Amino acid sequence: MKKPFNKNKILNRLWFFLLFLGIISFAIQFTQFTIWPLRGYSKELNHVEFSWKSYFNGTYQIQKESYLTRYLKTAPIFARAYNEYFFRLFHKAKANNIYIGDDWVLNEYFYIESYLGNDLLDKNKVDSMVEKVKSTQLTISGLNKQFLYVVTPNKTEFFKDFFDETKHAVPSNNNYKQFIKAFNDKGIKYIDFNHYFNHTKFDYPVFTKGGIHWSQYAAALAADSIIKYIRHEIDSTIYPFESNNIEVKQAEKVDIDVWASMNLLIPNPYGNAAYPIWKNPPAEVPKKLNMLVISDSFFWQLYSSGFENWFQNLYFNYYNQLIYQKDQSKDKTMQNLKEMLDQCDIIIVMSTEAKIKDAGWGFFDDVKTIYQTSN
Amino acid sequence: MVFSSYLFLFYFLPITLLVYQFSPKNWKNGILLLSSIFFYAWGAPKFVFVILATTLVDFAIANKMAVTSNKVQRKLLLSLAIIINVGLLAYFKYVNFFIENVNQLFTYFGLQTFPFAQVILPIGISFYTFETLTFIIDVYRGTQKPLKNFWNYQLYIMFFPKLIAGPIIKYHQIADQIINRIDNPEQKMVGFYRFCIGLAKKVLIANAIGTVVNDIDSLSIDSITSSQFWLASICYTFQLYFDFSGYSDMAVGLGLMFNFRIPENFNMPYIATSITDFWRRWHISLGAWMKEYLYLPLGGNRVNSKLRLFFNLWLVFLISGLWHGASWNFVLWGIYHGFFLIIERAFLLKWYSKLPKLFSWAITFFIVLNGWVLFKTESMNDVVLTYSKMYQIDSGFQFYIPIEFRIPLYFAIFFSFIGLFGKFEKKIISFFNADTFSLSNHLGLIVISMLLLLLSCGALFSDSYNPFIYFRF
Repeated sequence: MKKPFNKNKILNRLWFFLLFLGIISFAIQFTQFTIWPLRGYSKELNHVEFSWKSYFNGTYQIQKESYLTRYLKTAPIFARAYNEYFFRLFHKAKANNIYIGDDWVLNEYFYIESYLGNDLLDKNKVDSMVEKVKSTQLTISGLNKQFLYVVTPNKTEFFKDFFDETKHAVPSNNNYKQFIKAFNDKGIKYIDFNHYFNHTKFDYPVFTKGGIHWSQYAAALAADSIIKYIRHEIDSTIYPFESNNIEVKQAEKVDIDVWASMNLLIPNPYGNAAYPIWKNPPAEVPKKLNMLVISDSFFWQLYSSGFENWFQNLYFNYYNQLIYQKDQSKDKTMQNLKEMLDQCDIIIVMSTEAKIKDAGWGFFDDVKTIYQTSN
Repeated sequence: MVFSSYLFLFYFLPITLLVYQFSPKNWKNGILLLSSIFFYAWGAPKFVFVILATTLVDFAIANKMAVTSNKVQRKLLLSLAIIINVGLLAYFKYVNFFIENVNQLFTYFGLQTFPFAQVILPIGISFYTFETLTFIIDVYRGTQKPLKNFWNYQLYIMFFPKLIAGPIIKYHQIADQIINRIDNPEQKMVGFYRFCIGLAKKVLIANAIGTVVNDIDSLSIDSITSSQFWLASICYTFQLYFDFSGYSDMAVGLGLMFNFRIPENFNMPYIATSITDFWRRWHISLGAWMKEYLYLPLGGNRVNSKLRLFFNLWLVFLISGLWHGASWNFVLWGIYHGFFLIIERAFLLKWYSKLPKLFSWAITFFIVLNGWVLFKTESMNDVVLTYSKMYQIDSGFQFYIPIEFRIPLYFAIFFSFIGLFGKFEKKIISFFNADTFSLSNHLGLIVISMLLLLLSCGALFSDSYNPFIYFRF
């Protein structure tokens, strides 16, 4: 004969199961486990020390609660579930600036605004900024060094049919057009990857739907172009850029960085992307050149792929604030900037089309300060 | 500490429940009391001593009253307790309001003004003061014997589920439960469901709608259009309800998880068909307290004249308004509701009875919605400006709300008014009052509750974590 089920017994077990979940969520804080860490950047919070003073004035509690919330180990599960719900219901991302176009094409609002010319600078302002670029170019040439401005691409033009704002828009003017015209007028040495990648057919995509940057494939093409430029204009003995072959696999890492920062539950919806395998110059080949690159995040793909292997020293000056060399980083100071400028043979300023209005992030003023002071 | 915080959800509550669950029966009240003291001391470290001290004094007075047969002495003791408790509330909450108004008067007559007092309002003081008064008055009336154990009385006052934001629990509603309650797993599960529903109401609906209100409020008041004022008022109407009722649901749910039955505080107030009906559904515990400890002692309905009745009603609502905050807008809000209660008693209820229910509902909701403008707007100048702009209709009705706020607003409207139709009101009441469900219902409720908890916790986290793709200067 079947035993009649005991409802209270079952409910008791369910209750204990809930308690167990609650305690696990608490206890896991004291272990080394991390559960599905969230992607994207947000300012780190400092560990909060207790003091009676801060407790009685309430600051300890506020800071502690913020800290406990941010670093709760099970928080990523909740965050992803909520982000997924928010996206499915409202078709919006719970991350800064992300714009969701058709067919999972992702972008950032300011890239679209820049393409449409909604952040247009006054022509006089553009001229005065490019005048600084010119002045820097002349200063660096006077020191027997080479200066190059590299404009990295904005994927908005490539994917314009996927964004409601750009589907039927034909921007008459934007900062990029103004700057390129000014570069031409003032004889600035530049490479325009924005035009190149948006208007040329390639064997593999140069932009990815889920990433904000150029694809790894495009980054390799860019590295190749820069090396070719150096071989042609500066030092023909620099080892040529080569890649062994191209690995085609599901888009990952930088190629899906926008999607990743949305921190959803669903797996990556993107198809394959091309990943050229860089062939580093042989160790015995002498590397004579030193290079300083002042850039936004677009240079990371070259830097992390081993671009430094073509140079004796490669300094990556991130937003003219933080210097990366090999595995180390340090704050930029006027002193170390001067040392790098003195040492380097090639100085490249690289900015994306959307950030061209911030050209150099104060670098050109720094050069003027350094060399005016020196003189 | 608030219920909708990670500190409470993932640290305080699991530990408290675990320790409570596995502690011997005669330790349980002590565990609850210690955790309640910790709960209060976290948010109000300086005032925990105030509440501990006043409960000690009130307990001593109540026990003295219980053993005193002399009527005069009992009245004196009662008066002493009321003076201490109401005096503390008056000082902490209203002293600067009083000084501000005196200063305005003195300024008008060119007299020296007073400096403001350096006071901070202890959290929950409005709630626990009223609860203390119920204890003292119930003992005075002889309707309840005082608890013999001071720590049990302390627990009645400081029980953390209702300490900060109610419901206001009358002493006699909970006295027996403090001494004797049965561990009932079904009750605890129902408490969990209720807590999750309350959390979702607050976090997923109220907080979302509140963003619209905050965005409009952040504009210069002169630039806000008629449509925007209406939109802010409508959104505030639902934000307030879902925030407050959500918190009350969490309080009720937490109580059930510790096998306490805490009285309900809301009963679908926005389907009320008169202001009289509204006050039977909105902040029920405050209305019940006012009725039992203020309105009835003033004579209630059994006064000799209608004027006296109207005065009693008006006074009760003036005090209700003032209870909400130390500002004239709250007083006016109370007077506003008192006024409508009076005219309903005078003739309006009779008119309503001749109208279809939908008409009296619409009129009532319109009155309530307009009343919230007073409740929300502290400055009298802004109140006048708001009403005048609302009724100017300057540029037609143009409501724009981003979709992430529009959908929670639709949910809020749906759940607020669903009780108007068919038998939904009865079904909803029976659901929330049910002590028992079938096992299959429990499984369904667990799934829904876990989902709501998951999303609510995610929403709470996303308030503090809104990442950029990359670090940038």
